[in-house]
Amino acid sequence: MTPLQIVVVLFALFAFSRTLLRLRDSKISMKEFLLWNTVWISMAVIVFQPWVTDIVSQKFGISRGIDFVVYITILVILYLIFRLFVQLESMEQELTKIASTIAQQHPKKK
Amino acid sequence: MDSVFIVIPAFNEEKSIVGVIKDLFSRNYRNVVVVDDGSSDRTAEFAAEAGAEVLVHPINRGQGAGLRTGTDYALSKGADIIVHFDADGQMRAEDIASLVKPLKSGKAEVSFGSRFMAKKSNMPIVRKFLLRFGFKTFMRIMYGVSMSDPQSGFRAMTAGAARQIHITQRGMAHCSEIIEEVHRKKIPFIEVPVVIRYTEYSLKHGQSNLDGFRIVARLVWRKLLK
Repeated sequence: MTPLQIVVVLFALFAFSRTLLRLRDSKISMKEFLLWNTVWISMAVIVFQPWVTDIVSQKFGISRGIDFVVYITILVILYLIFRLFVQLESMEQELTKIASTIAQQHPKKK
Repeated sequence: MDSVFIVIPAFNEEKSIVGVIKDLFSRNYRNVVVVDDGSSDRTAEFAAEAGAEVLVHPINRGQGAGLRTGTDYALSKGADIIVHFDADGQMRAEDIASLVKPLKSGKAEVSFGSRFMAKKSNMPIVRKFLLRFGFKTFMRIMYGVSMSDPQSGFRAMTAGAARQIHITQRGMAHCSEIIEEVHRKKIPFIEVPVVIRYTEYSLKHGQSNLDGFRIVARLVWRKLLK
């Protein structure tokens, strides 16, 4: 095993244990659990058998499988950041609503 | 007689708030609503002692959020006209009458105070340039609105207009947002000259020129999400 393979496997195991814990606390749904674990397992598979990615990448006209993985990863990360931004904004709006309601419920006057 | 409510969002303004409230009372504006926006100083306490009605945000939510809370509250108390006013003492209570007048006469539903229509103003030159050319052009491109002072926070509106204007921008971008709302909903408006007193205190407490760029970024972001 190369050092990279060791690091990736250890990371995948760590990530799997975290996801399992979140599932047990009901912080994530079964669907999310399966989705995240697909990501961790794919990582482990790719690091041992990089040629797997070539099969898919060539269908997209990208010769090196690893390049394809990098492109897809960047797209996914960008999308997740966008979703986080939108969610954060809606949380901010909710917080403002709560603060406003509390303020209006207890006006102070001497 | 129409009931005029003055809404003042305040964040850590214990040094100026009492003077501002007293100035308003001396001109017979009895309905003064101060929204303390999660201040860490004694703004709320001082404002209540000075005789204002005080609403306290448990956490800081920004000037736009403060205005929204105050405006909603004023509407629930039966306000006919709502005036947005600053807590740092840079706006003059004597200018309120000229903002309210066109609303009472039915000439407009919203009146915006313009710092550029008045002759005497000690606005710093860099700010004058940024506001007059930068913001004005930006507002024209983004919303097709032409205003002499698009970032003025001094304004008055009828209850009917206030119900139509939805302030969603928590921070300083609410100024441009209100103008956009007025324009989009075709609410009749007017610009009225007002004098803003720039003091060392108000400049320190108010918006910096850099904030202008932040506001533009927020407005562009909002437009993209729409």
